[in-house]
Amino acid sequence: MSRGNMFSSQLLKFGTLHSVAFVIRLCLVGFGIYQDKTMVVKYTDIDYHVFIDASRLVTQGESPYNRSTYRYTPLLAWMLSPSIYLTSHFGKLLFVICDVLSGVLLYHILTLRGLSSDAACRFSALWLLNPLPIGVSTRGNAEALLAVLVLSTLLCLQLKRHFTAAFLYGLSVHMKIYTVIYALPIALFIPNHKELKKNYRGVFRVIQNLFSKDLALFAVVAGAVFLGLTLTFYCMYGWDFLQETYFYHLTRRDIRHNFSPYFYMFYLTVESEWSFVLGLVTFLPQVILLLFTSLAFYADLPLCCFLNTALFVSFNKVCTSQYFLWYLCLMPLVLPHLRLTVKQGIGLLLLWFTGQGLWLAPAYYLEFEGRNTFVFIWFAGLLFLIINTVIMVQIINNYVPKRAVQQKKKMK
Amino acid sequence: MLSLYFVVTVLCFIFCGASQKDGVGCGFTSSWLESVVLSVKLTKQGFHSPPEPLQAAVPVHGRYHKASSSGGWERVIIEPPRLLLRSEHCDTVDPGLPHRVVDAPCTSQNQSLCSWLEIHGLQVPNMSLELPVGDSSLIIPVCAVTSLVSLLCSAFLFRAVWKHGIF
Repeated sequence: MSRGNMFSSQLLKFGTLHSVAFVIRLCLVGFGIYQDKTMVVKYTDIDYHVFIDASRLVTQGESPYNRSTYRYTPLLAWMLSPSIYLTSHFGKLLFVICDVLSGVLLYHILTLRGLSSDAACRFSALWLLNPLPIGVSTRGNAEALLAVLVLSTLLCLQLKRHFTAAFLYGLSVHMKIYTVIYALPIALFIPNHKELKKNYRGVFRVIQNLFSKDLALFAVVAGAVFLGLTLTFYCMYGWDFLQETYFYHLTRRDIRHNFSPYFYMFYLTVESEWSFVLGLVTFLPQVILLLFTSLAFYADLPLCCFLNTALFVSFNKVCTSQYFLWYLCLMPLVLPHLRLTVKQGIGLLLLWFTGQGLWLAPAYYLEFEGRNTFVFIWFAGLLFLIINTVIMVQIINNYVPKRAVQQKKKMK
Repeated sequence: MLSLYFVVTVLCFIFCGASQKDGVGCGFTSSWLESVVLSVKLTKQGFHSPPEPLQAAVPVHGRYHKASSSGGWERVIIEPPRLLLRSEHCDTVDPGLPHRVVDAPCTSQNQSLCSWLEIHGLQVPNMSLELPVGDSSLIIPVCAVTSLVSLLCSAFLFRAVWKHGIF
């Protein structure tokens, strides 16, 4: 009886949280329709119009890349084709559903990692009730799709469903190339499952284990999905597809102001002959750090993916606010393991927002008032990198690994 | 950077009457063409539309120019717009100089070409904008400080990972 009660109250809580999250998003989608009709400043993001236009082209049998600035996989345009046949808001509904689904996935991963249902709800609420993902998905950005793919890959890996995980991972790399940074941690994680439990490690054993059956299966399936989709779309849309979906993002060096610490340097040297050398200088710390954290933390895959993403975004040549969602969706998986007090946590959060604010103010004056604030934006970008570094270091220093948590529980 | 609205005010009264005697064809009479006035207004807010005879508002987004050696602002000249006229139901006939007939898309949606009458000799001053640009004399300090900060941050992270990572 009491167990049944407990279960229903937990379900209610889980159900309430996700329903509330869904309703909030639906209301905002509705509000967006109203604002777009009545106000000069539009709610819907320009990217959403790009998606819809590309989707229309696809349904007419044309290449989505005939729409300028469409720089995504054709799969996205295909997925959104009901927007053309049913209602133009279909895409937003899909993104909103993915957003809530990400919350469900977070909840499941958290409970698998040993959290109680209540605690798991509390932490997944950090994503579900967070204004940033709410705003991004209701304004029609597709980041939630990636969150679902990444989180479901992690869940499947934890459940040892390597085939499904590989399929999802191949799909996510196809959708957004940045997810390739999870390849090394996953490749180290899969074959060393058992060893990790035995608490036995060693670099040689780790390398030896790389030749395992599970990993080979994962690599073959993920590779086949990725290459299959790439080949299919290459045959359909030719070079445009490769250029817009992959090469553009790999070689992108945006000289318009963005959060990247390197923005001003690249802007000033865009035509200089050291441009290539500087590109390399900035690429190296990013790659070395990614390799190093992958080796150090692969045993705790969510932590490792979170750190890899945060590092990648912070040290990237281009950084816009959508990129923050890439690590924000992994944050609820890391936070329960932090030794930080609530006060310290809020302090770090405020620090991050201060960094944002200090960047946004001069950016606003440059963008809208025509003031020359380049130097301030550059300083703010560097400060933002420093702040991000401090936060990442705090997270690394105060992280209590899963095993230690379990041992503590046993001792109690 | 600096979103500006470039409001092209075209003061004309289009009456596509049947005054073909004037020698211009069914399009526009030469005396009427002389009365055409074009004015250009550059406003910053842009989101308003006073009830003028005919208005075309073109958003201009002033973006990065090449960094200059002294930083500051760079003047950008916006050349006056061309005014093309066409009456709806009949072909525009070449009226002779100073105006001439050019081919341009029929409407913004319909990309097939139509004959348009380009009005010349309008007294429109050049407009200009001042756009902030980067200061290329700062290249060396900017590169040095950026690289240094990025290196220090990497080192700081490296140390933390080394200390707490499990190898």
